[in-house]
Amino acid sequence: MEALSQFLSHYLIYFIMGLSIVTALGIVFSKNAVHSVISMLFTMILVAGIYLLFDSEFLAAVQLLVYAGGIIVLFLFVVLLVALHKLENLRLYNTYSLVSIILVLALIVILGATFYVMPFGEAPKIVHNIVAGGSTEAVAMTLYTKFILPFEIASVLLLVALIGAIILTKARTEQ
Amino acid sequence: MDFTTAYILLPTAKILAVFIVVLLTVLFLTYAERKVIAFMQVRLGPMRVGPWGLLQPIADGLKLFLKEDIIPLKADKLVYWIAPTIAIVPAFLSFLVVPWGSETTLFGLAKTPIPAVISDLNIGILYILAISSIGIYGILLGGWASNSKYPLLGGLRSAAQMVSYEVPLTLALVGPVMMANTLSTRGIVEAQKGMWFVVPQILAFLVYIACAVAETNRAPYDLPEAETELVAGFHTEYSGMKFAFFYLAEYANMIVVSSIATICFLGGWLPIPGLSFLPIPSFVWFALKVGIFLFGYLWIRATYPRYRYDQLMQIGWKFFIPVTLINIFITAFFLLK
Repeated sequence: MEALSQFLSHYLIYFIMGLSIVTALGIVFSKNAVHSVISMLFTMILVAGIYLLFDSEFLAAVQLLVYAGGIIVLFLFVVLLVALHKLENLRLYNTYSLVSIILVLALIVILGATFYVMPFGEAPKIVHNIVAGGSTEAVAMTLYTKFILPFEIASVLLLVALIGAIILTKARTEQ
Repeated sequence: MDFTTAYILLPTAKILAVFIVVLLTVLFLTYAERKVIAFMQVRLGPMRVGPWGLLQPIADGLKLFLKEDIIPLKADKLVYWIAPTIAIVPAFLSFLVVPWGSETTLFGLAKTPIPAVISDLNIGILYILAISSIGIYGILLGGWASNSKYPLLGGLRSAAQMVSYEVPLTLALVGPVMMANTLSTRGIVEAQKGMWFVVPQILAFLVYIACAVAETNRAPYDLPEAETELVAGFHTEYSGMKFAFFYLAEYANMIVVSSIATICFLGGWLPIPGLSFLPIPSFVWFALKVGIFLFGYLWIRATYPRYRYDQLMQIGWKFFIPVTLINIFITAFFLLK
């Protein structure tokens, strides 16, 4: 029984990873920007699925809530307000095909070589072995004790960015 | 318990039971809505189909099922197709963690009583919030794909409204979660054995009710489909089963939101304090509390006129969010004391 569920989750991980690569390619290759955003939505959901299969249920929920539920909505919002049909036949991003092909090939070679040489070692231990009660508690304990200072600094920085953005847009509308 | 019972038979039975009950509730909620509002306006409501019009929802369902499915010529076909699905799937997935009672044997299927919930996730509340935040795309994409001005405006409006009201809704639920010290829906209900969270969390409860109405696009916050200005908003161009999907999603979301309110504030399946000696099964208590909420929805719709859009945004950002934040501070203060 245990063996069966392990077998299933093992193959489920490969299935979800494969699917997420397919949807990620969909982001790049869709001609229509809205289709790109939808592919991105599905990619985010599938990434949450990968987290879930690695026993990080808190991270999965946050991934859905923040990326799939929040950020992609904003993406979609911006894309919906752009006149898409004018951009569709413009070849906006592939005017330098030759250069980009050379660059991509070079990148593949470099990254492939790095991955080939890199000694990856053992896979990291699953989170829920550290603290009983699931990954929510594990995340909270590390975030609010060990890493409290960087966490707070990050939140203050984000607040500054937020206020800055509001002030910039306000100054423009008042002119 | 052997393997097939534990991992295949029982989950399937639970899922089927919840699905059928939710579907029936949705069907008869539409009937209840028409009846309740009719009585509030001194009319009779549906009376022709079946006794007191009781078969009306079934007739409506049949009509929608058989109706011609019209797709606008310039619509984005693919997105037009998947938008209703994106709307309805999260609505039904949310019921995965809704505990409808304390324990059940599913009419003798299980030998020992099992928890009356499909899956008791340890991130239950977070899961519902995460899943329901995906439902927005159905409305937004449906509005865009129709390639028509009113649906687009309705879709944009609803996206802005739902994203804005998700914030106070989530913050309002932080209070009960802090008091229960768990995210599991069963854990939250069991933490309320001494006192329902509606008493210490009255502030969060009131904000939750207001935001829940906005989150499900119901009157008086039904701006995405304000018929006086936007015809029918995001689903103007939809017909047949696709329209029915949007409709079902809206009503299923109403039940989800009412269930969360019952779980987090009104003690879930627990009996009313002082009435625990009555031989009433726990799922009846749960259904009763959810029913009161659903009636409240209809009552509010029949009573209040629609809000103006800027008023809606102002009250959301400038009133509800600060209030919920204050509530979190107060809760933390009393928990630490």
